[in-house]
Amino acid sequence: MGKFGKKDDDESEFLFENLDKGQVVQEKRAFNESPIHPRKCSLVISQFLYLLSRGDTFTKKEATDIFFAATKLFQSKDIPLRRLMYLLLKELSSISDDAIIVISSLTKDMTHKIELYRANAIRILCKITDSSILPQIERYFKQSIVEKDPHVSSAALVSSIHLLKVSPEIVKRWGNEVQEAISNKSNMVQYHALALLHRIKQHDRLAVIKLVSNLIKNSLRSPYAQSYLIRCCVEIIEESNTEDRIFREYIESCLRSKNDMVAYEAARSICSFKNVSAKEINSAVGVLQNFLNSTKPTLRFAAVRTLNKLAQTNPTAVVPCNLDMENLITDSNRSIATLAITTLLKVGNESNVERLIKQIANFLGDINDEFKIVVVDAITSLSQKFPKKHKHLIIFLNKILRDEGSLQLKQATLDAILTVVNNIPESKEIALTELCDYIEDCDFQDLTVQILHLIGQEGPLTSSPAQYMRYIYNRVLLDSGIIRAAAVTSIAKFGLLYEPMRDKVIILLQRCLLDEDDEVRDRAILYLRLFKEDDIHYLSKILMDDVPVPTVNMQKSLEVYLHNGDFSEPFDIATVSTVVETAQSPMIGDGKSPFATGSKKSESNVTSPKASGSAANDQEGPESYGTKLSAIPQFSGYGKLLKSSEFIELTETETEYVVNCVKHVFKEHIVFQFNVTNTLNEQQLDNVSVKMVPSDPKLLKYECSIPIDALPYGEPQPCYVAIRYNPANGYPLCSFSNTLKFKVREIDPSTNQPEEQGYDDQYSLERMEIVPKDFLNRAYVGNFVEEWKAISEDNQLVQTFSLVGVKTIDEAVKQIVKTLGMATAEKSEVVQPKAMKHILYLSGKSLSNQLIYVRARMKLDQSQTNTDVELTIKSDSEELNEFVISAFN
Amino acid sequence: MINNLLITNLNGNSVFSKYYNNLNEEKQSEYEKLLYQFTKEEWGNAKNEKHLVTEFSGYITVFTGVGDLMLFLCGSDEYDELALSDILIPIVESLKDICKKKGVTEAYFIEQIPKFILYLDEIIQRGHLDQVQLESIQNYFALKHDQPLKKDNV
Repeated sequence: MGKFGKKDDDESEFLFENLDKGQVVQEKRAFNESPIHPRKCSLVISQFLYLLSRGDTFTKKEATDIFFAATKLFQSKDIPLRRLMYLLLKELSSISDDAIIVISSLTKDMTHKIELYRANAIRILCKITDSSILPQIERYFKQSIVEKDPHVSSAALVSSIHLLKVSPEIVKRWGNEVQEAISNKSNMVQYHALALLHRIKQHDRLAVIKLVSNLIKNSLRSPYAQSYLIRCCVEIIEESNTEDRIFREYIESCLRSKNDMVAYEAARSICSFKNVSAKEINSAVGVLQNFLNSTKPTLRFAAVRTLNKLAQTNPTAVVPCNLDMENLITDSNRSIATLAITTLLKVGNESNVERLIKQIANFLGDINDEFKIVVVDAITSLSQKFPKKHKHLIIFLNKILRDEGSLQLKQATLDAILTVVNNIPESKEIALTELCDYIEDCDFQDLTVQILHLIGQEGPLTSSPAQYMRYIYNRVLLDSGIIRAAAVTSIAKFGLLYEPMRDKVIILLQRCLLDEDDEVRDRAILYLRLFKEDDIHYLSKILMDDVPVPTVNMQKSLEVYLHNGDFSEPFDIATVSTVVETAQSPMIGDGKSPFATGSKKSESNVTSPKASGSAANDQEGPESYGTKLSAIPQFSGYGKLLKSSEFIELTETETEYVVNCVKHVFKEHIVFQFNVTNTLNEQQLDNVSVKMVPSDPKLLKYECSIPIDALPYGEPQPCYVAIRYNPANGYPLCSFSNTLKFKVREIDPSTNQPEEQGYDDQYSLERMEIVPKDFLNRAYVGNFVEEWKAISEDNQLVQTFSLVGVKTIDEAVKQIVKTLGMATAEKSEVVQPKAMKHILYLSGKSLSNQLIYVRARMKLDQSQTNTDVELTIKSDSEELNEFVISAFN
Repeated sequence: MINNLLITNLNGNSVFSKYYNNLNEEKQSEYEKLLYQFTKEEWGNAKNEKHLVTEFSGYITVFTGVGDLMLFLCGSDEYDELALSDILIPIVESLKDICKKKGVTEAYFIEQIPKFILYLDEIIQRGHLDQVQLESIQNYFALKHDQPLKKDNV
C-alpha cells in the first residue's frame, strides 16, 4: 500500500493488471466489515466485474460465497456502492446457488424512494424469479410498469420481455398496465411498451390488429417504436390477408419519415412484400437509391443489402439504381462493395456484363480473399445465366487464380472453373489452355494435382490433344514427387484415350522409369506394361474408374488391416463400406445457427468461408461402428459386426426432432442406432429412446434399449435398440412402427440451464423395414462374364417381373441396384441414353461369404411406362437365391 | 437481439467482450476470428468513430474506431445495421466519457472497465436495447467517481 501511496494518479493505470482471481475472491471479506467502507467495497466489486469481463469464470461455490457476502451491502446507504452491488448480484445470480434468498431485500428495494434502487432491483429480480415466486411480487411489477420515471418503467418493461419466457401466463395479465405505459412521455418507454404488448398479444390476431390500428393514428415519437410498428403492420398484412389499406398506407407514409431508420424499415418492408404494385416498389427503391449515396456506410450497406435481396425476386425494379451501385464497387467499406457487385451481377444483362466484369477486375487487388470468394461464387452463377460469356468468365477466374491469394480462395476459384467447364462444354479448351499456363507457376501442390487430373480427363478429347503434352511433361521434369506421379497418370490417359499419341506416350513413360520417387516409377512401369500388352480393358479400369468406395473408408479399412497384423488373407476391398458417416450438419433449426458448415450458399451473400476443416475432422468412417458398438457393454457379446446399413431418415430434416437410423446386423442380433438431433434451442430432452413395434413379433425377440440421458440443443447423439433373431429360422424380414419418447425440460433463458421440472412427450417417426439388402454385402469380381459362365445353370433361379411406373432404363437400373445393395460389374450400371433395353450385372455375397451373381435383363414395355425385368440369380445355395429374389416381393 | 459487444486494441487483441447470446467459448472465438478476417483491412477507414459494417454467417456487425480501440457491435433480427449503429453511438460516448481525463487509450480504458460496465448496463439489458439517450444514461448511472479508485484509499 505504501508503495503506491507516494505516486500520483498515474499509478492507477496498473490497478487491474495482474489481478489474481484467488486473491480477489479472498478480498470479499471487506463486505463483512462493520461499518461498511464504501470505497473499499467498491474497489473489490470493480475487481470482480473486471475479472468477469475478462472472461474469468467462477466456480459455483465461489460465486455463491461472493453472492452471499455481497448481500451484506444492502445495508449500505452509499448510492454508488449500491449500484455496483446490484450489478455484481445480477452477474452472479445465474452462477450462484440459492440466489432467491435476496428476493425479499430486492422486493423491498422495488418500492424504495430512490428510483435507481427500484430500476436495478427489478433487473435482478427478473433474472432470479420463477413462476412460483412471480405471483407474490407481481403487483410491484405492475406498479413499476406504470411508473412515471422512465428509468424504472423501462427496466420493468424490458425485464417483463424476458419474464415472458419464464412465466408467460402471469406477464400476459399485465396488458392494461403496459397499454398505459405506451403513453409515457419517454420515447424509450414507448418503444419497450409496444414491444412487450405486441409479444403479449402475439397469438391473438384481432387484438394485434386493434392495437396496431390504434397506434397508427396516435403518432409515436420514438423511431424504434415506429420501426417496430412497421414490422407489426407487415406481420398483419402477410398473415391475415387483410383488405384494410391503413396498414399499407402507414408503411408508405413512413417512407417520407425524416428518420433514416424509419424510412429504411418502410422501404425494406415494401421490397419484401409478395404482392406489390409498381408504384409502391418504385417509391421504396427511390428511398433506397438516396441511401446509396449517403455519407454513412451503414445506410449505404442497408440499402444495397435490401436491393440485393430484391434483385432475386424483382431484378427490373433494381435497375434504376445500377449507376449508383456501380459507384459503390470501389466503396472503402468492402462489405458494401461486395454486395454491390453481386447485386449488379444479378441484374446484369448480356450487353453490360462484360463491362461489369472488367470493372470488377480492376479493383480486385483491393479486396481481401474472403470477399473474393463471394465474387467468385457470383461469377459462377453468372456462367449459367450467360453461357456465351464463358470466355470472359474463365479469363476473369483465371486472373484470380494467378494473383496472390490463400489456398482457400484458389480452391474456390478452381472449383468455379470446373463448374463452368462442366456446364459449358465450349469453354473446355480455353479453360484447359489457361490452366496449363497456370501450373507452370503454381505454388499449391494440391491444385496442380487436381489440374493435371482434369487435363488428363478432358485434354485427349479436345481437337488437338498434343498441345497439352508439353505442359504435363514439364511437370515431370520440374516438380515434386506427388505432382510427378499425377503427371505420369495424366500422360498415360492421353495414350489411352487418344490412340495417335500412344507411341509417344510410351516413349515419355519410359523416360520416367529412372525417377527417384517410388510412386512415379511404379506408375510408369505399370502403365508401360499394360500398354505393351495392349490390355486396354484393364488400363482403362485403373486409369478411368474411380475407386468404388470412399477414400476415407478405404484408408480406415487399410489401417485396421495393418493394425490387426493378420496377413494370411489378402485385403478385400469389398469389406470397405460405401457409406460415409458424415457429421450432422450444425445448420439446423432457424438456419441462423452461426458458423454452420456448408452454409456457403445460404441466403446472405457475404457468407463465411467454408469451415471445411471441422467437418472433415468430425467424419467417422463406418469402420469405427464395429469398435464403437463393441465398446458398449450390452452389445459386446454380439460378436463381429457383419453389416451396417446406410442412413435411413425417419423424419423430415426440418422438424423439431431429426432422427435417422442405421441398422447394424450381427450373427444373431440386430442393433438399431437412432441418431437424434434436438433442433429446439429452448428445450433439453432427457431419457430419449425409440419405441419400436414390429409387424411380426414372432420373428424376433426384444433384447435391450439404451436411451440418451440428456440431449441438449444441436448436438446429435445416438440411442440404441437391440433385437435378437434366430438365423436358423431365416432372417426377420418385417417392418416397425417407431415412436420417439422423451422428457422435455425447458431451458431457462436467463441461466441457459434446463429447468428442474419437465414433462413426458412423444413424437411419431416414419416406419422402417428390415429388408434382404440388410443381409447382403457387396463383392467385387475380376471378370464377371467368366465367373458367370463357370457356375452351372443348375444353381440358378430365374424370375420375371415388371417395375411398374419406371419409365426409363436408367431409373430401373438405379432401383435394382438400390434394392439389392450389391456391387455393379463390367460397368453395366452405365446406360446408353434413350436405351430401350439393357443388361445389368451385380455381384454380392451373403453374410456367410457365399458369392452371389445377378444378371438383370430389362426392357421397357410397349406402353413405355413400365420396365420388364428378367432376373437371374446364381449362387451355390438355393435358399440364398430365394432370399435374394424376395427383395423384389 | 443484440448478440455481443467486443472491444479490441488495434492489434485485434480483445480488451472487453460481452456476449448476450450465450455462445459457447469455441463459437465465440470462431466468430472473433472471422470478424478479424473480414474487417482487419478496413480498420483504418473506421477511425474517428466512422461506423462501418460487415456481414457474415447471417450476422451483421457494425464497427468503429475510437482512440486506440476498436468497437464491434453485432446483432440480428430487429437490430439491423441502422439500429446497431444508433446504439453504438451512446456506447462510444460513454466510453469517451469515462476516459475523458486521459483520452481513450487501451490502458486507461482497462482501468475504467468497471465504470464502463455500469454504463453499458443501462444501454443494453440482456441483449435488449434499454436506453440510447446519453444524458439519461449518465443520470441513471449516478455513480460519481470524481476521484479515481486507488489502492491507497482502501
